[in-house]
Amino acid sequence: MARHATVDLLSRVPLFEGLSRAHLGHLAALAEDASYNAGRVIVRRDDPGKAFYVIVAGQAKVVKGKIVTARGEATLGPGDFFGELALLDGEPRAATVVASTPLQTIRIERTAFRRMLREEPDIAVKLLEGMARRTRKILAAPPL
Amino acid sequence: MAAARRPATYLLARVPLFTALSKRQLARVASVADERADPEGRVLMEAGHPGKAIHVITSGKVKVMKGRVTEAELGPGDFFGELALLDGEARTRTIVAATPLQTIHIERPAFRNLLKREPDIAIALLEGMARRTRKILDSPSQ
Repeated sequence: MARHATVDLLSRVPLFEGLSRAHLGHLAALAEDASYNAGRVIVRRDDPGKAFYVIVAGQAKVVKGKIVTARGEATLGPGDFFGELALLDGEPRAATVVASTPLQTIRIERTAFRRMLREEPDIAVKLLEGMARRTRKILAAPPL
Repeated sequence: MAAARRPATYLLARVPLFTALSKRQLARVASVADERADPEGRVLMEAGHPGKAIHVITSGKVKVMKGRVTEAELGPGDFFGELALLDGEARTRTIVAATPLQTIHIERPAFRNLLKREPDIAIALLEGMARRTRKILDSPSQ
């Protein structure tokens, strides 16, 4: 996918809010295209979280569990994402996600992401800033 | 002053933001902390002003005030300015020393410089923040 389109998609993810276009460009450089046939399991509940996904085209179903950052939505479509927190903490998957149509995603691996943060600590500092604002927001107005 | 740093490390370990840090990383954070003493009545943070530091109380008490109303009192081991350390957002409460007060504090610029020099600390903090977000979003009471 074209770099600027990847940057646009990533800019809408809460974790990356507040990153400059240049920082988003570093992130987009890590993104790989990954396509799945309908019915394919993309991530499985309880497996270690190793990557973050943004859906480019198609739809996916959340089965067994819920994606906390998607407010429990069961169907995901273009622009939706999962594995955002796994990118940071690598915790086991909270849900299984299955492609319900042919699915195109971009994927960022946790190991590549961490390597990039070590090389670009300014991005890590920005992300921390965003996480603090987000914690504040959630604590003030908890989602239902 | 290694001896003086030890209690700082111990106090900082109790701040949720720092729970994901290793002992070595905590010691690095403690190395940018300063001790400070304030008389009773001193305003440490003012509502509406940007947050500039985290403070952990080593002795004495502070009042947490909204306008003229005292909402809470904090004492030894308690802290304030945790998230402000990261985002510098405007304070929503005023904090006043209710007794002679001793705190250790970490200023935002020193902290940010540390994170840029030692990105592994930033990465560990991000890990901790992610777990915390998960916990808050996942808790049934929310």
